[in-house]
Amino acid sequence: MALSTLPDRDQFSRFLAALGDDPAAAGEQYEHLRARLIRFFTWERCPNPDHWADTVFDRVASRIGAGEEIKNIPAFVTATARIVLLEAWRFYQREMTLLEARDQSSSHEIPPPEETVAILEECLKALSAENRELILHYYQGDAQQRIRNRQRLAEKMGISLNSLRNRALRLREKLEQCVKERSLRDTSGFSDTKDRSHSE
Amino acid sequence: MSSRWGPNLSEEARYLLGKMPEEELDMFRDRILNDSEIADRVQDTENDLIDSYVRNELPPTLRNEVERRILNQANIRHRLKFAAALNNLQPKRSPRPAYKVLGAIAASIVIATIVGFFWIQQNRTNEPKSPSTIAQIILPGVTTRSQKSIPAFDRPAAEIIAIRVPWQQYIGTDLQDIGTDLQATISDGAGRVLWKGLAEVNIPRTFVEIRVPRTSLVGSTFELALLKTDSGVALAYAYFQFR
Repeated sequence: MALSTLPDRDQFSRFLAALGDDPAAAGEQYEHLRARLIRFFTWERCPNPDHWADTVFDRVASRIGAGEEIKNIPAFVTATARIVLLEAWRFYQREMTLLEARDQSSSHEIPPPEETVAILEECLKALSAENRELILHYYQGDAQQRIRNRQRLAEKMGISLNSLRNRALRLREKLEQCVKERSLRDTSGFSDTKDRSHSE
Repeated sequence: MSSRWGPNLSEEARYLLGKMPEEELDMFRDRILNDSEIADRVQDTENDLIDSYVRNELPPTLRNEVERRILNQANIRHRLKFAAALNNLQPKRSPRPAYKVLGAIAASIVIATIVGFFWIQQNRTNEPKSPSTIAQIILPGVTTRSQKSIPAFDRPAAEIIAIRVPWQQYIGTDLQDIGTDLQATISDGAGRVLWKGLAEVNIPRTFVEIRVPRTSLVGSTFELALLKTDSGVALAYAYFQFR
């Protein structure tokens, strides 16, 4: 994996400060950007997307730490991400060719183990009744029915489809994380781990 | 069959499935990075594709493309299990056509194999520690520097700790010029190098192993770097911690 210059704590603090005056809001902004980068590198089929997201921040933090004035941090993060994506591709070029070949023969599906359903039910209980209803309705029906369901649900709730999508996605992320953590806690003995396919 | 997954796929689905022309793709990448709403729409479509896959609602061609483009992602095992569990909570639908049932059975066998493989991998890392002088740690797939994702192990009591890194996930299988030795360094969370030495690559390249004196592993969080012996170029990083 390509070597990158790691920013020191001070540089990273300056990077966070550049994201906003309020430390809590800056932290939130950082997490938000990081989540988006991880998703991006995942969709671009980069193994170890967390690493590449962190590489982007390392680069940006080093530049800010070195005294460079960057007016639009999110835009700079985006531009850096595009460069890092090229590096990641170069790094994984051979491996990804192999993955392409290997993936031709894969297939998956399994009825959910009872314990996963039980864990999901437990995690659902932690949500408010409104959110529980929202997520179950949002993901109800086949793909075509879902479009109609969601339009009706948004109208019923008096919110836009985008707002509904945003709420449903955040709820699903929260539930997936809850199920994952409880499953790992029960079975692996790891305190907290990343998934492990080609990555996990 | 859902018409949503017919020939006229949305741009989000075309992006995810690698069906977007390069010139459109480039602009779409920028939109994802700059606009959280676009990123959410892609995420939403991906969730629906996974859910449809689990529900066996995809046409065969699309099903293959989902397997090739989405089901090799880092966290897919949990996402598939989650999707299957979520589907299980939904009201039951009418019986499936026979070909879907047969497809589901065949697919179940394969995914059970995959889940089983990961289960074994995960449990191998938790084998009881040998009372001998060497303890073995097997690092999972790919680890990252972010604190939440670093696998944690009980600190071994043995004098020598053998750390194994799976070859393919970290380095790839076709780097034939590497030979059978790599350099390795282990640093602590503050970046201090704790140990330097050789890493041995087994034949036929399924893992890389280093053997480190227990006394060198001071602290709790470690970064293992694997470097090419001739040039010192880093090939991979792995992260682990001791409880």
